[in-house]
Amino acid sequence: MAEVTRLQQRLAAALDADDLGEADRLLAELSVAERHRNRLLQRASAGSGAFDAAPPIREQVAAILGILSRPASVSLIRDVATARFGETIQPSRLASLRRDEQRSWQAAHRGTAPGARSLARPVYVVPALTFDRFAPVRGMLALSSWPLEIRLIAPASARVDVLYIIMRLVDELDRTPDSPWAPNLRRLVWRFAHTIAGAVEIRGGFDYSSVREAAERELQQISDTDTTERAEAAERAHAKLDPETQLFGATMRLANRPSSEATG
Amino acid sequence: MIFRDARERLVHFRGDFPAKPLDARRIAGLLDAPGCMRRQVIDAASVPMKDLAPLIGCREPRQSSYALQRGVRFEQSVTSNAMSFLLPLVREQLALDVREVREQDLSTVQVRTQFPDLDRDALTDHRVRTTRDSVAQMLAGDQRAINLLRHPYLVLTLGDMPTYLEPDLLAYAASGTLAPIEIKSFPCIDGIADPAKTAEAARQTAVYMVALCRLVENLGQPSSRIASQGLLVMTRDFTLEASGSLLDLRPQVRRLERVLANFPHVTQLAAQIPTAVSLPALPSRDTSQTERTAASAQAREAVGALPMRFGDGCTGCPLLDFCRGQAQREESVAQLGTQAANMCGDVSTVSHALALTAGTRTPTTAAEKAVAEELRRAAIAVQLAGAAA
Repeated sequence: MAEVTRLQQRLAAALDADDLGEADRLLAELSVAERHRNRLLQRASAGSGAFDAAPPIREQVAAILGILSRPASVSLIRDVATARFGETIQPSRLASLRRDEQRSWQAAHRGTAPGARSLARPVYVVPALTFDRFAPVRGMLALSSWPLEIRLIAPASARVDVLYIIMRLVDELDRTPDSPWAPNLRRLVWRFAHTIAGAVEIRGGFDYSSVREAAERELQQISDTDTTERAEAAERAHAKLDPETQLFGATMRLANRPSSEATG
Repeated sequence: MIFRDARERLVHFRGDFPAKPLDARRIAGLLDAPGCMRRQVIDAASVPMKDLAPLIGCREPRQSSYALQRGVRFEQSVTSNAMSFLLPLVREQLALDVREVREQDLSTVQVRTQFPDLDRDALTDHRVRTTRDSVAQMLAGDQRAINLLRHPYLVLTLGDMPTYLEPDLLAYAASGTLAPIEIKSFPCIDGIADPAKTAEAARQTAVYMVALCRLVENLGQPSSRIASQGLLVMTRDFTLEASGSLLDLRPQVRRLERVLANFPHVTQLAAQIPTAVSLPALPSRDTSQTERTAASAQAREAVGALPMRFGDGCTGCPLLDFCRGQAQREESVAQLGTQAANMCGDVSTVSHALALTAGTRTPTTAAEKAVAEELRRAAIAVQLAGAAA
C-alpha cells in the first residue's frame, strides 16, 4: 500500500510538470500496484492464505493449450484465458516463456545419469514450427506432447487449426452449458463463427451446432492437403533433426552480405 | 568544388542531415508536386520530410498516438488467427474460394525470428527474393501458391534509387488476379468513409500496385494479371470489426506511372543542385537554441536555393508553408493557383499583371497582351456586376 501511495505522489508530480509520457507510465505501474494491493487485501479478508496465488504463466498456457489441442496464437491463448478462467495473461510475461522452457528442457536433459531425466517436466510449452525449415513461428505455441505433424505449420494449417479449436470450444460449451464462464466463451466463439461460411444464418436463431457443422464442412475442403503437407514435413523432420530441435525449432544460419566470409 | 558525379552533388547537398529511405506515402506525394525540382532533389537525396519541414518553419500535422495504437491493434486483430476476420471480406470482394486459405507472413519480425543472424541488408534481400518467388508461384497457377501473403516486400525505382515498399497484404485467387489489400483504422460509418482519407489510402495502394506491376513484368507476365481494384479494410462504425471496400486504382496508377517515368535521373538533376549550400545536421533534443536557430537558417538557405514550382498541388506537400512564404515575398502569380499562373504565362508577378491591366505599363510580348486583355475584361465584368472595381 505504501507503494501505491508513493506512485500516486509521483503521478501527481508528473501531471503538474505536464510530463504526459511519464504520467502514462506511472498510471500503468499504478494500476498494477493497485491490483496487487487489492488481491492482497482480498486474501487477507478471505483468510485462506497463499492458496489463491495465481498459477505461473506456463501452467496457465499449458492448461489452455491442453483444452484447445491445436497450435494457437498467443492472442487467442490470452483471449481464452480471459474468457474461460478470468485470468489476464500479460504479454510481457509471455515474452520469455519460449526461452525459459527451452532452458528448462536443456537442464533436464543435460545429465547422462538416469536420475537427471526425472527432473524433466511431462510437458513443455514449445513454439509451433514452420513446415519447410522447422523454424519457430513467432507468436504461435504448442505442447511438446503433441505429435510433430500437429506442431508443424503448413500454409493452410493456421486456418485448419482455428477451425478445430472452434469445434473444441463448442464442445466445451456443450459439456457445461451453464457454467459461469459459458457466456464469455460463447462470445468468443461467436466472433469466429462469422468467419465460417454458412455458420450464422441471417434469419436469426444462432445455434452452436450449426457452427460446428459449418466448421466441419470447411475443414473437409481444406484439411486433406494440409494433413499431407504436415505429414511429409514431419517425416523429413524426424530424419533430419535432433530431439531438441524437433521440439524448439531450428534457427537458420544464412550467410550475410558478400563482405562477411561465411564459415558455415 | 568539383564533383566527380551527380550523385556526389546530391550527397554534398544533403550534408549532415540524415538520409531515410522513401516510402509509399512519399512516392504518392509526387502526384502533388509534378515537375517541382525542389521536391525532386529532396526526394532524390532521401531527405526525411518529417524532419526537414519543421526545421524550416513548416507546421507539422499532429498524429495522435491513440490513433496510431488503434491502427496497430486493428491490423494485428485482422491478421491474427489465420487472418480469420479478413476471410469473409476477401471471399466476398476478391472472389477467394473457401479453400483458398494458404497464408505466409513475410513481416520483418517473423522473418527475424526464423533467421536471427541476418543483418539488415540480408533481411531485405531475403524478403524481396521470397516475395518474388511467391508471386512467381501465383502467376504460374501453382496449387501450392499462397493466397494471402502478409507484408510482401517490393522494389520500386525512382530515378535511379531503389525504394522498398511493404504493402499490408497481397491476395491471390486462382480464378482471378493478384490484388493488394491495405488495412487502415479510420472508420467506415454506416457504409461511408472519410473521402480525403480514402483518397490518400487509394494513392498509397496505387504505389504498391505500380511496384507489383514492375515485379510481374519482370517475371515475364503481362501486368493485366494485377487486379485493377485494391481492397481497403477499415473499421466498421466505432468498433474494431473489419469492413472492406474495393477501390478502383486505375486512374491513380496511370498518373503515378507518368510521374515516375518523368522523374529525372540524378544526372539530369545535377545541374540544378546548388553546390554552395548544404543541409545542416538535424538538431537533437540536446542542441542549444543558438545552434538550432543556425541550423534552421542553414536549412532554409539550402532549400531556398532549389528552384520551386508553386501550384495547386502544393497544399499536400509538407513544405507548403515555406514555399508559400517565398511565393508571397516574390509576389508570384502562382500564389493564386495553377490556373492563374498558366493564364499569365511569363508575366510572373502580381504587380506586373496589375500594371498591365491599369495601363501603366504597355504590353509588348504576346503573354503581356493576353494578360492585359483578360484582366481588363474581368475588371469590366466585375464593374457590371455592381461590385466595387
